[in-house]
Amino acid sequence: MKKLFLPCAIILCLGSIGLFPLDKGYPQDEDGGVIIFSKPVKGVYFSHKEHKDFSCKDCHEDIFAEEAGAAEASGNFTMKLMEKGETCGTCHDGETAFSVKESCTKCHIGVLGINRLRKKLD
Amino acid sequence: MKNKNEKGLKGLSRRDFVRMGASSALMLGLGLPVARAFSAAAREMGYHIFTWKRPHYEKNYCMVLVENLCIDCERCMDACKKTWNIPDIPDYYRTRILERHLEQEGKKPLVEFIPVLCYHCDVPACVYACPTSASYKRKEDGIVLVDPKKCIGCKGCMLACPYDARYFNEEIYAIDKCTYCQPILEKGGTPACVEACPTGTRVFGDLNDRGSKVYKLLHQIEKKIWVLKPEAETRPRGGYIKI
Repeated sequence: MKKLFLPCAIILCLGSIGLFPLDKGYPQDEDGGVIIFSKPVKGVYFSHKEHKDFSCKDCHEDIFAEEAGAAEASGNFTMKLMEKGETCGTCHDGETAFSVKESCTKCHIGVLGINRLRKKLD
Repeated sequence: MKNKNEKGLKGLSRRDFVRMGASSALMLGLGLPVARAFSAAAREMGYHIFTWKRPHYEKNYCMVLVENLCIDCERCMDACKKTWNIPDIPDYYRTRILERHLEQEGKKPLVEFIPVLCYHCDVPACVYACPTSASYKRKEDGIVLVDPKKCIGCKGCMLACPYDARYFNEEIYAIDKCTYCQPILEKGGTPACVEACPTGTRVFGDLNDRGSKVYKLLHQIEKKIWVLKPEAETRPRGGYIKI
């Protein structure tokens, strides 16, 4: 029994690291989860669940990169470019889905909405 | 001498009737000029009694908020706090964004964001409520300011304001509120929140200038404009519109 004690203790300690997930601010689901944007404006969110009718490569092949924070860092994540068909505007042009020129507050839930969302997700 | 009246009604003698007429004429004759003089003196001080006339400002500053463009990014609040060194406490705001949910059939409720701030009313309840005259309204441009040296922190103005536009700042121990960025306006600039707004929700300008964007927005025929809490009768100089 004494000989087994040390290896068992080491295995338990190493295994318990898996109980502490990386804190990304919101739980990560398999589908990509909820993204909260803060650039160029605060108060915007995106939910992968609301877009579950598409496969990953429908968007992540040409339109968006897969890395977190890539859209915000790119500098072309603006409403003007979306109206011309870039990023979200590829589908949100009024035909495939609602246009970016209307229903602003569906995605722009505001700082107040983001605070509520964080409370709900945590 | 009283009249003898068979029906039992109280009659009036002719002398009494004439006396009544004379005394009421005297009261009106003396009272009306006194009332007019009192009203004129009050108007001189900025109060309007018996009549209300919009005072003439050299620069009639007004803020119009286009309600359907606000996205609650709160850049206006951040810019205001940064410009005026306001401590980062949630209750310390000169302007803030309110939220409204409108029920829709079969869909999620529609969300609207409403920026509110001090509207520098023409009949400012806060100025009348102030016991030390720390709160005052400028004659040139109608901006309502607070002199922090005179403020004693009674918070009567906070109660009086129908828009909750004032807050008590513990650091300077005085009431603080939106000033339409008056020091910046003097140098010809625009208020910080107006500059920071990315969607064009906040439109600010001088209503005396007929070419200004504010004037054009407010003078569109068949376009509904509204102010908040008109029943408070403070005549706010800030309105809302939807484009």
